[in-house]
This record gives sequence, C-alpha cells and structure tokens, in this order.
Amino acid sequence: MTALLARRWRLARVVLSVTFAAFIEYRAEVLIWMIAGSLPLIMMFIWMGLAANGPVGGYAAADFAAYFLLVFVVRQFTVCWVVQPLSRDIRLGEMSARLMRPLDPYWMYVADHMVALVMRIPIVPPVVLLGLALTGAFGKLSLVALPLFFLAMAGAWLIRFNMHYSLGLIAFWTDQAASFEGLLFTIYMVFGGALFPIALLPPAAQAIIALTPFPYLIGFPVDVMLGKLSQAELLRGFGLQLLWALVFIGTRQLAWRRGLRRYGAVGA
Amino acid sequence: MIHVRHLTKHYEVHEKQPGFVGSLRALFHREYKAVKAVEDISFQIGPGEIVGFLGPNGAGKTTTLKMLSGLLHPTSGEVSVAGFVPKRRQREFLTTITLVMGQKQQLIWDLPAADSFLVNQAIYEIPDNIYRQRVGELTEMLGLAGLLNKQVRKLSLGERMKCELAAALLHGPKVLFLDEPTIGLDVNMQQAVRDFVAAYNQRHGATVLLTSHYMADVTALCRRVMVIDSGDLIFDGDLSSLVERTAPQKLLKLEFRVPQSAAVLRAYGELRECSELRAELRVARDRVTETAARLLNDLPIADIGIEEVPIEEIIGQVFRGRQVLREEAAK
Repeated sequence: MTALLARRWRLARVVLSVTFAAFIEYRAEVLIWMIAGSLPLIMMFIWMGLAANGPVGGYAAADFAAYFLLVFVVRQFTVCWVVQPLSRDIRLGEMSARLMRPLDPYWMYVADHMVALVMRIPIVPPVVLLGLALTGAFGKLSLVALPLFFLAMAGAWLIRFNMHYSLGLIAFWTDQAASFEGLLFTIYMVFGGALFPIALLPPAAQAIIALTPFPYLIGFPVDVMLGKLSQAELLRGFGLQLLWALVFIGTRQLAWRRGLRRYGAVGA
Repeated sequence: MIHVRHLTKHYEVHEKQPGFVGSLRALFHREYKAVKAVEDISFQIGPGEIVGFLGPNGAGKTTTLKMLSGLLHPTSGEVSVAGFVPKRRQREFLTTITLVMGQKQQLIWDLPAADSFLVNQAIYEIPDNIYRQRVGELTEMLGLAGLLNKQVRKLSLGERMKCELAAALLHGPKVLFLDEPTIGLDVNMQQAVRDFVAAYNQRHGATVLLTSHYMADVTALCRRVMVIDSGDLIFDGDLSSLVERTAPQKLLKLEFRVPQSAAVLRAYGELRECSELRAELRVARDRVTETAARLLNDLPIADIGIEEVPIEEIIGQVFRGRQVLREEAAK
C-alpha cells in the first residue's frame, strides 16, 4: 500500500514538475489569460457604483466589493480550458500517443490545470488583498471560514473540470464540441453569480437556478467565505457539490468508454 | 505472440459537399458512407519475428496496427497480442507493447526529450537503475548523446525520430508496432533507424511489425512480408519469393544524347516508357548487367540507372495476379 502510494506520489511529482517546466515557456500567455479573467473586477466597479447612494437588495458597496473580489478568486482558481485541447487531441489523433501509455490521459489534462493554479498563487492573493484594503471590504470576510472556502473551491473545480471534460469528449462524435463551450460559459457566468449575486434575483428564479450545478461553481464558495450561510445551508451546499461532482465524473467516465469505441473514425 | 482471426474494421464517415451550401445541407441531412478499412484478415506472428506490412496508402495497414495496439476497436474478429485483448487496454498489455508512428509524436514539444523520458519513467514505473541502464543503452544504439537535453522543437526531423524511438522503448516492450518509422527521413537517417530496429530485435528478441512505403526498410529488416490492399490481406510469406515471383525483372533507366526510336530499344528488353531522350526498360534479373553493357556499347547513352521495380508496382502485380487467379477459379 505504501509502495503504491510512493509510486503515485512520484508520478504526480514528475508529471507536475515537467508540466510546470512546459508552462514556464508560456508564462506571458498565463498573464494574458488572467487579465482576460478580470471581468468580475469590472462587475465589481459597476455594482459599487450602483450601490453608492444606498444598498441594492441588501448589498452595500463594500458587500459588492467583497463579493466580486471573491468571485475573482474563485474564477481564477477554478479556471478550466480543457474543452479546446481535449477536442483537438481527439479530432487530430494526438490522443493516440497518450492512449498508448498506461495512464488515463485525464490525468495529463488535470496536471496542466493544476500547474495553472499554482502559477496563480503568487499573483491572485496580493491583488485581492489590495482590493479588499482599498474598498474597505476586509471586514466582510469570515476568516474562520477559510478552510471551508478552500473545500468549496475544490468542489467547484471538480464539478467544472469534469463538466468541461465531458463536453470535450463530444469530439468523439462530432467536431462541433467547442461551439457548445460558448453557450456553457454564458450560462455559467449568469447562473454562477459572476455578473450579479444570485441573491438579488426573485426567489422563484433562485429556486430554479439552485437545481442546476452552476451556483455551486461560483456563488456558493463565495457565500461560504462571506460567512452568509447557516450550518444547514453549508451542509446542503457541500452535499449538492458532492452530488454534482459524482454526476459529472460518472458522465465523463461513461463518455470516455463509449468514445474510445468510436475513436479512429475521426482521423486517429 | 500475435494472433489475428477474421479481423474486420468498417468506418462510417459522413460525406459533405464542399462549400457553404454543402455545410448547410450536412447540418440537416448527413450522408453516411461505410468504408471497409480492413476486411476479414487472419495471420499469426511468432515471438522475435520481424514482419513487414506493405500496401499503398489507405490499404488498411495503419488501421490494422491501431487495432493491434488497442487504439481502435475492431468491427469484428479476434485479436490477441502477447495473450491480451488489445482493446481492453490493460496496464500489463500497454507495458508489453509500443507503437511508434512516424507522423505522430509523444515528446513534449517545448522541453528537452529527457523530460518526456522522466514522465515515461514515472508512468511505466521503471526503477531508477533499470531506467539508467536503458537510457544508456538507447543512447549508445541510437547515437543520442547531446540530443536529450536540447528542446525537442530544435531537433531535426531525424534526431526527433530517434528520440521518439527511445521514448517508446524505455519501458522495454516485447512487441513493437512501427508505423512508417522512416517517413520523411533522409537516406542516412533511414539507414540508422533500420540498423537500430534490427539490433534491438537481435538483442531483446522483440517481435516487430512494421509498415513502410520504402522497399529498402522492408528488404533490410523483414524476411516475411504481408501485403494488404483495399483492406484485404493478399500475400503473406517470404519476401524474396514475393519479389522474385512478382518482379523477376529489374528496371533500366536510360537517358540518351540523341533521340532513339522505340523500335530500336525493344530489342533489349520490355519497353515501358519512351520519350525521345529517355526510356525505361524491363530486363530479366540475370541479364541486367549484360544488357546494360550492350546498351552502353551500342547507343549514345548519357546516363544509365539500374533499379528495383517500385514496391507499389509489385503490390499492384500481386493484386492483379490474385484477380486473375480468382477469375480462373470462377471458370
């Protein structure tokens, strides 16, 4: 058992360090992607402006600041671009080389994304701390919730990555996989709460959105860190994250097995 | 080592008319066409054999290789490689075989090959001492010294291919599937790859199945060849008997200083092509030198070359021969 763990640990270490080395070659690109991910900060200024003369739906300017700075954190640490490389590798047959090795190619894409997260660590926290200081929103955070915030982000990452991976696998059947991604992104941004807090919507709309996986990708982790949730709400939120994660992991595995049977009909 | 029985692979491809209107039509109404890539082929390969897989483009060679290595699921038929069913892709199977594709790469483009090697070491769980020994051996056999620490994108095509081969063999596979391993390489590099495959087979007793367009690859390495055409296995046997049986002649390519008439040339052999200053003659193998000497003597020759009949033509002849046999059988 320990021998197996040691081998797994070694594998993770080697794959991550080599992936990291490859990423260093594209460090400028990572920075550009981060700037492209600054939409939540723009939304922050818009909502702070709207709340300048009084709270909007219970959110004062500082509440909006804290909310959108955390949205920025969650978006940055759950960043996911797997649809493009995955569908390209399948369509162009680049998957063949990865399939020949006794390791599910899934883990190579995971490694890419993990490295991208690591590269954001020196940049995101300083930006957010500065933002919190400037807007005076520091007091809105519940620091004791920090471990739960990390857990909620991990849950969000797992759901999002497996959702996108499943979408990328559509490339086994059609070459249009990438076009679904734009639609998914829009729904994710709106239902996730990246443009406005879902709490501002009428209760009926909130109830419908709560049935989808999207609020658990952004809004839920943010609310955890803001200390807004009761114990019951936390339990329910984490339970639903787990449920959605299992749903998309299962979808991914099913699509993978089905897809492999068709592989090659598309130019392997 | 490799058993294949009644192996068949059909693809469904959708056909689309070119252009915007074609795309629009394909959006609503897709036309599918079944392509028979491989049709009911059977063969066996013993341990340590090197077998050449020949056939024109699109004949089904690569498809067969991919089914043997587990990338493609057969439509029907049975495949067993080293006792495994390839499509199940068990760990033990994948560590027993390797697939090298001349047109695909596994090395990480922006990093030195040594980094990709480390990843493979970890994935295949190769112990450090064995890893060092294999890298040492492959470095010596392939002449990799100085290449492994250069970025892959800065290597020449030939250098890259050698690194690809090494990366594909680090885990010490017993069965090698090589798909066009020499494609695009210059003559020296082709030779180096060939020598390596032969030496590797000698040293490790590995079973090798290789496809190639280059006759030289096959003649240098394989005693046994399989010829596949339009998905059918049409010859399986000794290479020398294939060449002698289907191409008992050699090719004489001639260039003249003064235009020559076809009538004159016919006296020397079977005339294949003739424009004023150039001609191609087919001459029986045992009379090639003598005929060439006579030609040099009799005619104003500017240049002369003696070549083997191209492999595509030999395959074509095998194929046509088979049709003749079939027609005779039908009568």
